[in-house]
Formats: sequence, structure tokens, C-alpha cells
Amino acid sequence: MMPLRPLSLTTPSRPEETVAALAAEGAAVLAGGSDLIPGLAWEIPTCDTLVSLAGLDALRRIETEEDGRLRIGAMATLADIVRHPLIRVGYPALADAAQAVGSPELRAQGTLGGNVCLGTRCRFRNQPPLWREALAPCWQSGGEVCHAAPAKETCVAILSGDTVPALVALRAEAEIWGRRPRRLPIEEIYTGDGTHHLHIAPGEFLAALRLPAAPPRAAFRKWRTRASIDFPEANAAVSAVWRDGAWREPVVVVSAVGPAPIRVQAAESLLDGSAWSEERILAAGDLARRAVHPYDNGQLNVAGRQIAVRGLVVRALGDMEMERREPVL
Amino acid sequence: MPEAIGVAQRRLEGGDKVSGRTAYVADVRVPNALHAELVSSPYAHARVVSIDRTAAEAMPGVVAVLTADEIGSLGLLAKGEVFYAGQPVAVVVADDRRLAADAAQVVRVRYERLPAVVDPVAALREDAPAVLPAELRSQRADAGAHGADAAQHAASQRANVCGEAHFARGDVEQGLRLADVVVEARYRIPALYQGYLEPHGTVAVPEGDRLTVYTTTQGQFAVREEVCQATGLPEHRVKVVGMQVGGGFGAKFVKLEPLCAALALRLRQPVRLVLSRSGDFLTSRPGNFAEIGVRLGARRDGTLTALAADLLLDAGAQEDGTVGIAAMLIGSTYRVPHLLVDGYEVLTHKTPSGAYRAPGAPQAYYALESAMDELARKLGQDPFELRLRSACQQGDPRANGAPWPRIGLVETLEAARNHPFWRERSRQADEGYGVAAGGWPGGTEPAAAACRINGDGSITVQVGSVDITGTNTVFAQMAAQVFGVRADAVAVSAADTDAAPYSGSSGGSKITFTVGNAVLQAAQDARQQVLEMAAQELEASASDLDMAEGRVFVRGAPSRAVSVADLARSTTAFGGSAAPLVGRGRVAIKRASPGFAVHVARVRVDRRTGEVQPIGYLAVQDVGRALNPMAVAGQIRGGVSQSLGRALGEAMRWGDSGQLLTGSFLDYAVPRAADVPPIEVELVEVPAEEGPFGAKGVGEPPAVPGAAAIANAVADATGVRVRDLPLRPETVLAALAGETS
Repeated sequence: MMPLRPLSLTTPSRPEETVAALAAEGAAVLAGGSDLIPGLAWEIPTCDTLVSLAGLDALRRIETEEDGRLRIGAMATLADIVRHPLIRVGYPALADAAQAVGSPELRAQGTLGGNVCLGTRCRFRNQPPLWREALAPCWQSGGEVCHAAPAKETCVAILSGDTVPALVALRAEAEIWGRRPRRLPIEEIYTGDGTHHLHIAPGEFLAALRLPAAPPRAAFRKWRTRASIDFPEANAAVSAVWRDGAWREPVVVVSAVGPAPIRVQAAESLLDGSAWSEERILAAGDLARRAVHPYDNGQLNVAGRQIAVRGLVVRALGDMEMERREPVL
Repeated sequence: MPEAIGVAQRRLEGGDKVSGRTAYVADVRVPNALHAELVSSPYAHARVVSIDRTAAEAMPGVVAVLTADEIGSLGLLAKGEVFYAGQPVAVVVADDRRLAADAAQVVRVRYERLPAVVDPVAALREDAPAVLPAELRSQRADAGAHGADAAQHAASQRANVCGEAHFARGDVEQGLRLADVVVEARYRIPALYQGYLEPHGTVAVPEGDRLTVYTTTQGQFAVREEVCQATGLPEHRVKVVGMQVGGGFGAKFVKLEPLCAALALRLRQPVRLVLSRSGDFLTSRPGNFAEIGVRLGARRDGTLTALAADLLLDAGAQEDGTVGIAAMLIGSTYRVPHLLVDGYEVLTHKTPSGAYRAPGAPQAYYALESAMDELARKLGQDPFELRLRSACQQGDPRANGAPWPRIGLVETLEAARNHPFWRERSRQADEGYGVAAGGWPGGTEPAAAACRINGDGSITVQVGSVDITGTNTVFAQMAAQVFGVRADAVAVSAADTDAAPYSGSSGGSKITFTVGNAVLQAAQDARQQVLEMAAQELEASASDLDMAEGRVFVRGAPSRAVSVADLARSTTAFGGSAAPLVGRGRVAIKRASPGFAVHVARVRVDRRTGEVQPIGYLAVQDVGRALNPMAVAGQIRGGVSQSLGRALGEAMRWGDSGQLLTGSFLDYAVPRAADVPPIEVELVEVPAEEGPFGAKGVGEPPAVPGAAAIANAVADATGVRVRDLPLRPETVLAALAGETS
């Protein structure tokens, strides 16, 4: 590890102080830090002041609200998510997604909020400074070129949080604190531009995720080289409600193939209103494959990631259909 | 009498390692140490136009900024031209590590970029530009070209060929015509980082007219030799302290030491240079990329008629010598009447290659054993039957015609075939089994050891070898066996180069085989000295005496006895009457002990995602004699785990302009616990004639067959053959898609 440059750290204990500190130039949110701190050592990104959320006790809590929704504080660790009984039983796809992140050490340190807001990644960017010296600056480093997609006018770095597709499939809502606190569906916090990939302004931060009281059934799958540690090269989640002998309101979401999660609406239409035969599942997988256009900025190649998206959606849909037919008690 | 040999014995240093108490070189603290930081080239091939050090030198606390112009290349620094991305062009020395890193960033180097030759196939072409200028090339012995045909000679004259090996027997084209079935295929195996946990590091401390070098190395005497060559100091003025090594696997011989030593001598102050992980990746000496073409012919009954193999190994930006081993092994494993092996090694503008656990062997056996598997499938034969029909035994010719000594390839194949893991195999959908063999020729080097009996009768063994695999534990067991005591009654002192007798580097699977013999000899010598003292004391002939549990007694009359402690006391007392007890062992074994392993892998393949999951593994190995079965099994499991990485995830990859794309453990996929299945280990013991207690080298063979075993299992599971490693999900998916399209 390269030595870290000196920077200042502040840990406010009141939300107003956090908001004020984050509004300052050069400030960045510190949650678990498991991705941010190693990144800072490589100067990806750079900042002067870290504003830690660790002083806000409410952000660590996982609790049921009066209307039955599950509210998960942004500072709940991924390990908390994996082992929490309400999540394991009511929202197992989220527990699976959290379990797929990193390693035990990283899950003990990393938070749900951090995973949702995780900086985008690119093979041409997430490299030591010496490596980057050999390339012209890209969109992320003040330049006007993308080495992965030269024809693109914006950064196509990869959104790499595994919990994101699971949260989208579970219809989670993000709660943003700032001068004017607001709530919005989680998929709306992503801009689609890899450089500024979050609709979270200076002075704002993600405080909690809220999950519906009666969630749909859901399943999550991840694609990567190894069985642990790796960032996703693609991931996917699906959800639907089984009602009156048919699947209803399906969600098919694919991520880690661009700067934002991708809803595959064509597949959702196909899957709505029936049980899922093998043919239907395979057709939905094909639609998902056609809906994604990854760039050559991951560790695994474009063609592989595209084929894998089909496989992930097919497997996730298969998981749900199989469990409906033979419920695991 | 307690048996110490063949008994599972925990490693002497294991407790300290797993509890974090072991001091590695980065933990060495010396007063007034300066910190060095390398300034490295971002480009793979460039001329260094100018180096402006003024900003760095102006920073308070920066002691010096030096280049090859002042201190020479020292095996590392570029002089005027860089030949790989990450090659150091200057070194900054400061009194603080952070400061040195900051100063390194403001050294302004102007480069003129030059075209980089990255692809080894392109580097081999007749019109390829020369990777290195003539003055950096050794005058290559033309031995390979003498007597070779014109085509070979022409190839060896190409600009970037830096090594070659040719073996021929019979007429290979005729042999292929005699075949009923021919397999023809090309296999590629990537360059591989050794993946040790501890990055390279060195601390050099000038002390009067002497220099002490603390370092992480597999061979402290090799370090001393190169430091002396670099600095002009005689060997008795340089002390190398080989620290505990946090993983070497062939990568840790000599790297930073000459540079660090030169800096310390020039600045007359201790200098510490410890690489970051990314710095380590950039200057690592990975195992060679290899592309190997095989044509293998057989009769319908499985009798081999011909084997033709062409090998291309990538040396990176420095001459290497791995192709000889690879070419030799590929042509020496099976009896085949018609043989032609042509091997070349080429220079490219990439990190220079080096040794990685059995250098050349995993590459050779990946190709050979994949081809054997393809042949078995074509013939519809059992993979063991096919191999056993032609497996070499004692007396069979190797590629160069020299006969094999006693080897255990056949015994190992038979043990694997008879093991329940194979015999009771059962295959679910999308599962498969793969078999592969592999071997390593072993190594030799002179070695010496001492065995001292202390004043209280306890035993200290002194060696100069670096313990990377549990060799010190085995030395304790050997001395304990000789004296009839438990292993924990023996201390093993692995001393620095001032204090220790000579030993070769810990590589080539030879320390137990060579230093072990010296230890055995030293212990027997010391034992004889004790018996002779006891003979006088007991008024008996030394040949009538025996020794156990710290006592010497007359055979058949155990009450006539004297304790070793009583005898030893008189050798260390004021006015004592007997000379100290010091046994001496010196050996120069000339014949190595080749070792073979056979692996069987069981995998499950997800056809939709291309993911390969190893779900079972059997490793069978001829170890001659398992002196410490626990340590042997540990080494085998480690080798298998590395093979899984080789097969499924690991690859050093460079971009078109020669930039390393896999410069961290995020991108370089070493297997983790979840990727490694349960590994069953079965030991075969075909004794080595010259090995201590029959032991042979066990370190390298377990890293050899695994990649082919996995690839063969994937082919068994899917019906699709992937020939380019690693079998990452993208590659398997592409192959499966090709099959269905």
C-alpha cells in the first residue's frame, strides 16, 4: 500500500453539522471507508476532508417503521445486513447481495450506504498513479476522452455495488439528508454518468434505505472470476409477486455493466401475468442480454459480460420459479 | 526409541507466523535509516531524454536523487533507455518514507516514447525490431544451433531469440504417418505473478568497513555474491541476514539488494527499500508466458508413435533460461519412438520473467497432458491406461537421450488410478473429472552443515539455507532420529552468511535433498564423537554402544550407561578433559532426484454463466520418503491451490502498448478459500538412492499437473476443449457459445 497523504477527518454527531461539513469544498463522505481509503492512496478520488457518518447513531439502526416498512440506516454494515433476521427472512435477496460483496473483513467494515454510493470503477482508472501517467487524462481526471469508449461523450465507468440491483428489485427507497431531506426510488439516485454518478449534491448524504412492508419475492445473482472478493463484472436481480396463479409486477434489473442499473422492461412485460416456463425464462434472458452494452473497462471481456447477463437473469428467474414450485422452508 | 522421521511434526516457526510474532524484513528497525523510493517509467519502451531532480532535491529531508549514471544499473535501473513499464529510472532517498514517495513524484523525467514489442509471437518474426541493444545481450553460446538444421539456425539468428532448445529422435513425420490418430493443438498459458504475501524489501546497513544486508530472499549466499559483485566488497566483508520469507515461490533470489547496498555505501547510512504491492507487481519476475504447439500420434491401441512440440516462451526484457527445462520435460515423460522438440525464448518489452515454482514445467505439462487427454478421448481410452502404456521408467531415454534414474511415475499413476476418488467416481450433470501427470527434475548444489552437542547434552544444528517450506523442522527430525530423541530436543539455527556453513538457494526442490544430507552426515559425525567418548567412560567398544533418549548404553546391557549430558559437560567445563562435540557434514551430490505427481480434479461447470467450480481434488505424489508427512501434505495442498489459480483466474496481462493491466490483487485473481475444494493427498514412496532416508524434493511437483487436470475436467464436463488459460468464465462461455452456434 502506498502511504496515504495527510487529510483531515471530522466526525459530527448531529446531522446539521454533517450537512454543513459536507457542503464545504473538498469534502467527501466517509462511511466504512473500505473502498474509499485504498482509493485515496492511489489518488482515486482526491479530497481534503473526510466527513465521517460514524457519529450519527441513527444511521446504524435497522428497524421496522410504524407502517411496516423496514428502514436500514446507511451505516449498517454489510455483515449486519447478512445476519439480520428480518432481512434474512423478509428480504433474502438483499442478504444474498450483501453476502456477495468482498470478503468477511470488508463486509464487517463496509456499509450498505457505502455499497449503494460506491465510486464507479474502470480498468483504465482504478490503477496506480504511475500506470495512469502513461495515458491522457480521461473524463474522470479532467480530460476529454474515455479510453474504454472513445466515441462516448461521458464516462462509462462501472457501478459496482452488489446491493444495488437487489434494492431496485425490492423497490427500495433512498432517504437523502441535507438542507431539504428527500426520498426517492433508489434507481433515481443514479445519473448514468460515471464521473458524477449520484444525484446527491454537496451538503447531502444518503441516510437510509427503506424497503416495502410486503416485499415481492426476489433473487440475486453475481458474475465474477472468483467465488469471493471480486467486484462484479455483471450482476442481476429479479422480483415479482405471485398472485392468482401468475407472476405479477415483475422487475428485471441488471447492473455492473455501466454507470447505472438497467431495468429490462421488455423482459418485465414478457414475464408479467403467467407462470414462468423454461422458454419464457430463456426469452427473458435474451432480452436482458440485448438490453446491455458493456464497454471494455472491466476485467472480463465485453462479449463474456453480455452473455453472462443472459445467464444471470435466467438463473435468477429460475431460482424464483423453482422455489415457488418447491418452497424451501 | 522414539521415531522422529516419518512422523507428523508441526513446523518449528509455525506458531510465530500464525500469531503475527514473526519479524519480516519490513519490520527491521535500525537507527538513522533512510528510505528509498523508486522513480519508475510509465512506458514500456522509451528513451530517457532528461531527468530533472531539482524540485525533489530541494525538498527538506531529501538526501539524494540518483540514477544509473552515478551508481550503475545494479540490475534494476534504466540507463538511457527503458525496456518495460515500471522499470526504475531513478531512486530517491529521504529521511522519511512519505517524503521519499512525495519527492519521487516530482522528479521530472522526459521520455521519448519508442515502439514497444509486446507480443512474443511478433517478437519472434524475422523483421521484428530488436528489443534490447546488443550490449545488453550476453554472447549466447551457439550450442543449440550447432548441428541443427538450417531452419533452426535461421530462427536462432533472429533479433529477439534469447534461448533455445532442440531435441530430436527418429523421424517425427514418419512417426505421425504411422499413427491411426493424431492430435494437433496449440496451448497458451499466461505469465504468472508468484503472489507471495510479503513484497520485496531490503535494509542495508554500513558498519565500518563492512556491510550488513537484511533481506527477504530464498538464497542468502546468492545475495552475498551479487552484492559483492555490485559493490566490489570481498565476501568476508558482507553479511547477509536472510529474514523469514513471506512467500517466495521462485521470485525471491536477488532483486533490490545490490541497489540498496550501493546506496547505503554511497550515503554511509542505513537505507531501507520496501516495495509497495503495485511496485512489486511492476518489477516482479513472473513465470513465463508460453505458447506450445503439440502434434501427438498414436496407434489405435494407444501406443504412441510420435510427438512433435514447438515451444515459445516469453522472457520479457531480460534474457532468461526456462525454455530448456520446458523442452526437456515435454519430451521426456512418455516413451515415443519419434520425437522432435523445438523451443525458443524471445525478448519483449515487458517485465523480465523469472522463476515461478517449477519454472517451465507447468507450461510444458499443461500442453502435454492436455494433448494426452485429447488423445485419450479420440481413442476412447481410459486416461490412466493411455498414460501407463507409455510412461517412462528407470532406464528409458529422456529427450536428450540420457536414461532416467529410478523414478516413480508409473507407481504414482497406479496409485491415483486405484484411489477411491477415481475408482468410485460419480458424475452428476455438468460435472467432469480430469487427470494429469507432471514432474520436476530436481536440483543439486553443494552444502555443508554442523551439529553441535551443547554442554547440557542438547543438540543444535547449524545450516545456511533459508527455510521457506519447513526444512528446518525436517533437519530437527533428522538429527533427532540419529540421536534417538524427540524432535523438540533439537534446535536448528539458520544463521546469517557470516555464521552459517554454505548452502545453495531454496529453489529447485533441493534443500531437504542436499542440505538434509549434510545435516544427516553432521549428526552422524557428532553421534560418533559421543559414542567414542562414552566408549572410554564405559570401557566398551564404540561399536557395541547404542544411544536413545539422551543416554548411551552397552547393547544388551542397558544398565551400563552414561548420559549424553554428563559426557557433554566435560567438553565445555573449565579444565574439562574432552574436546567440544562438533559434527560436520559436507556434501556435493551430483545426481538429482526427479519427482512426479498425478492429479485428478473434479469440477462442476455452469453452462449459463461459464463458472467453473472445483468440487473435489486428488493429489498423488512420489516423495521418496515423507520425512514430515504433515509438511509434505501442506506443500502439496499449496501447490494445488496455486494450480487452481493458474487454471481458473490468474494471468499477468499487458495492454497493446505494454502496460501491465493486472498490477494489483484486485485484478490479479489469486484463488481464495472459497475457490479451493477439499484436497485429498496420497503419498507414494519410491526411495531416492541419494536422498536422506530416501527422500526426494517435494516442493515443485505439486504445482505442475493441476492446470491440465482442471482443463481436462472442464472438457469432460462440457465436451468443449478450452486451450488458452486461464479458464475464466468469459473464456468458458465463449467456448460453449461457439459450440452451440
